[in-house]
Amino acid sequence: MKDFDVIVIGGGHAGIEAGYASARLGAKTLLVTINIDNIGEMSCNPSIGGQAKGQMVREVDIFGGLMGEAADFAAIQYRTLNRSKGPAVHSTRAQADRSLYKKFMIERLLNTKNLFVKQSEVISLLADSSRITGVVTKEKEEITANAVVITSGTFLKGKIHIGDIFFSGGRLGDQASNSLSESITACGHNMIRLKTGTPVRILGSSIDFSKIEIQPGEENYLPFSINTAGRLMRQMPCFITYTNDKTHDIIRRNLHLSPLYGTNKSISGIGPRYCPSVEDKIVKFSSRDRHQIFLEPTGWDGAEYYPNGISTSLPFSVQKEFISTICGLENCVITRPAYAIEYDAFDPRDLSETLESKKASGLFLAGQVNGSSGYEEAALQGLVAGVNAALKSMPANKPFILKRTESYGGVLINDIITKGIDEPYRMFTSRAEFRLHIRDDNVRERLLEKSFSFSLIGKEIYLREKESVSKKETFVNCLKKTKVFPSKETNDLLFSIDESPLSKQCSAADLLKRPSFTIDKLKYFYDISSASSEVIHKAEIEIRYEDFIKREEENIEKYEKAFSMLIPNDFDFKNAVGLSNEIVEKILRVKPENLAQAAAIPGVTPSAVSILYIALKRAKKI
Amino acid sequence: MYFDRLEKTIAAIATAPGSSIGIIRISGNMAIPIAEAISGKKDLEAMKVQLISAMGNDGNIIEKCLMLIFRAPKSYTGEDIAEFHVHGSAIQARKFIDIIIKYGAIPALSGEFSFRAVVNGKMNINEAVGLCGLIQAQDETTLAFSRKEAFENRFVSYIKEIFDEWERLFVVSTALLDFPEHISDYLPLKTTLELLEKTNTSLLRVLSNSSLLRNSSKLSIVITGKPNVGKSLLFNMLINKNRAIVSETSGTTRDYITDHLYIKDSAFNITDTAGIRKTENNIEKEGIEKTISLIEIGDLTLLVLDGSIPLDERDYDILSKTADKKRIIVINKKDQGFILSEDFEHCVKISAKTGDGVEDLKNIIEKMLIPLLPDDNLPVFLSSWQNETASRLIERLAELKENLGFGNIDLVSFLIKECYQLLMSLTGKIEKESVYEKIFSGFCIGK
Repeated sequence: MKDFDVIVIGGGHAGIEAGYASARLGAKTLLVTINIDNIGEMSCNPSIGGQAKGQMVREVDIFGGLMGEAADFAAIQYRTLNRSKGPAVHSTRAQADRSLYKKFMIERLLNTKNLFVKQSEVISLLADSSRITGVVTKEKEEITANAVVITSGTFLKGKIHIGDIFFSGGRLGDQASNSLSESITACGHNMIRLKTGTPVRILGSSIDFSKIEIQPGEENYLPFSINTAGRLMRQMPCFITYTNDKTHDIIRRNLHLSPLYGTNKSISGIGPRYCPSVEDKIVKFSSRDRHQIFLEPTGWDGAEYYPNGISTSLPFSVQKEFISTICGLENCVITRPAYAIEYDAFDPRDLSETLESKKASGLFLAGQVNGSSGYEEAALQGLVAGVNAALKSMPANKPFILKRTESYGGVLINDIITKGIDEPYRMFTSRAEFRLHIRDDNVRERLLEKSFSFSLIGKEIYLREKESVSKKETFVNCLKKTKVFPSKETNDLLFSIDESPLSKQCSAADLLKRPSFTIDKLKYFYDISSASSEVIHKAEIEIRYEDFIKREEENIEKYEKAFSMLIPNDFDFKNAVGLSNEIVEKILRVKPENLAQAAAIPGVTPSAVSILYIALKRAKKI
Repeated sequence: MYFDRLEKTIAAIATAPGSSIGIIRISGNMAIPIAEAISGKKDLEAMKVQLISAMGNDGNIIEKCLMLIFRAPKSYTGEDIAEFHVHGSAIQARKFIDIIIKYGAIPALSGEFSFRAVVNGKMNINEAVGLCGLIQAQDETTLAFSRKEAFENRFVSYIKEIFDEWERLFVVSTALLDFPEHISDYLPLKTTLELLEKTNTSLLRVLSNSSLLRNSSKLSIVITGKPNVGKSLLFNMLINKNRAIVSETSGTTRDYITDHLYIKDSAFNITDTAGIRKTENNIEKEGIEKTISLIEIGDLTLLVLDGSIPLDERDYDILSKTADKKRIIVINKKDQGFILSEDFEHCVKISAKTGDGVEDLKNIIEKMLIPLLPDDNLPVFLSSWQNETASRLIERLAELKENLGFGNIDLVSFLIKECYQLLMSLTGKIEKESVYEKIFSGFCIGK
């Protein structure tokens, strides 16, 4: 008998979801963290959601995860991004109070049945041939388990850089974990060194807000969680300011002191291109005369602000100097320095779609340790790893796998385990082939059934949410059934609202499909007063995009049909006559489970996929 | 269906029936074992011509022929190939195929050898489409165009600039959605509209060029005129054969005869018709009616007049009947001395008897039919799959245009992606099973 079913190492955004999901499924779960007080710490920006990430928060939420609820609990401001670009690409983002967010998470984890939280450091893994059997803590305690989930974030051999100063640390103020990497490597995983960075924090009372642009929150927002009922009574604004020539001059003059550009390039890890440091921006976009900075409050108290857009690893004296050139920040007081951090991650191509190691059974990895970046990316992986780790201790359960055709979670996991990563991986809407289908507004339609079938949400919530889906469906059907006739009266009305006349009978829904037709115009043809604005909004999207989504779905079907073919574990690639050695090597590196994964591997050409397809068909017949 | 058969060994007669040599080609894993069984030899050497005594399934020698072996991947299909060059009776070749099939091969489908060549990375899909045209070409024009598509991939270079712009547009529309805070809020509307227009025009030009090419082999010239002005003599002179019966008796030609007229690289259908006159003879009447309908559907009329005698009402009748047609007035019997003084547009004086002026006539024919010939400087779509894809792209472009400017970048970017992907498949950059199937069913067996 093992001490636990599941041990989760780490209490960040991935660890929280892994531990919580595992415990909720009934697995006896232990979460080991270096510091209980810092569970759910927002190490970088004080916001949850955003482009593609907002959708991921909702996916975590529909699977019973905590991130959405915590974000709603801690929210101090909401915005809907891309509001002007069509409802199919709306994303919700919330600014959060850091300490409230942590408080919510710590309380919830400490009060969850089956979940045990322990402050310690795991220094190695216990393994029995190619099977993980438990962990060893710093106190030399051996704890056994059926499955271990590693969510180490930036803590494995974390090394903090501020100019030419560097020291060990998992995050500024927290100690690093310096020995666990060896155990993971010993299992056969390949270590990769990555880096990321974070800007200074600024004392709120030292900012001159009168000189800079204010960006208030939005009243009309949809909270992340299906369990959040209330709305914020007031919101905290953010502010916008810019770098200028002086700022750029100072940074350019001091580039030689940067651990990235200097003569002494002490950072070897690879950083994310989409989240460049301010020195990167100035070197790579030298023609731009200014760069935007968002000043985001880190809590209701407004005590500290996070200046989004100027992360740096320049020496602290240079940080102070260039920040004081920025409008509104002339006399600002820096509360925490900016820094870059290097950490150990592991090539995610050694994982399967459940996030279990292909090298050591029972070992799961999730979050930044897999080369991803971002709280939301971490949370989704944590959830998937936690569920599958728990399922290991349960009889005959099918694995919990997200498909890329139904969720950003599926896109994320599928991408990293097949393509591997060459920089920290962040989700973008463009990574999803089926963007019109996997939206911010239809997470219930996409994933409610799956969530319920894995017992990730209770029956009560399931029925409640199902009801909300059917309300919308009823409304859509009504609009489809309401006929509009090409009478003179109708056409005069259409003319008066700048719409072209009808030549034949159509439905109210058909009118709404016209790009120029708005809900306001619809009011002349159908009484919408009885429907809630949420129902109207969702119905509008569904109707407007119906035809396009159908087209997308046709592609989804084709895609799934052609690429769902499984590649057996013992498949001999020598059977695929015509594949070059180079391509075979690339495929062998990933060991794809199906043809879709093989096709996604960079360098695997369409002809190679065809050859593989044929070889697989042939192998099946033998 | 092509994909499902890939593990099978396929065989077909590669040459046209009735050729003096029949080439039989086998491709696949069984090709060499079958060749060994037929030749009775082992360890067959690749790329070497051997004379063999071919044995039937019963062990009897059925043919002495040449055998060629290609080993994968150095072959047309990228698989093992065996070829037999047998004596060219259709029956002999078919017998040979029967034997091969008894050894386990299956008859190849249309285009299957080339399909395998594409699957095995031996050529890309546009080259294959070009090759398909090349094999099917009945005339020099189609042949020349196909050769260019097959070996130069002309559409890709033709569309390159536009394609690059699409790539940029695709990237911009994506960035707009993924980095809302860093990219200005709008698509460059004017340049996008310009690109749509440019793409549309380019595709329409290629589509119309493709249809000109398809019709070019059907372009028809009709020779007409009253009886006994020398139409058949001119016909024979033009086609350089004695096909039509020529006599002094008027009304000799009662039915029409069609043949090919070659001018430079182009082949045209040319038809000699019954002379138009009033007649009580039912057979001749029918011939004359046919003549009138041929003139109707023809692309160019050669109206032949006898220059040695004055025009009469029958000439005027035909002149007025063909007035709105593209026509050349051919004044014949130059050798007998002209008395005709009338002036006509597109007129040439010849002697069908001596051949005097016939070259001038050919030049005028060419000049008048050139606008109906495909433009040599433009690419063509040779397969119906490409034509369909281009037409679908044109529809999508219109849809995209309709959606521009309403702030619904979500749909706009979806449509941009669709257009971009269609353009990619037109340039041969996407290879999908369904596309393969459509292209290769247009192939002829054996290649």
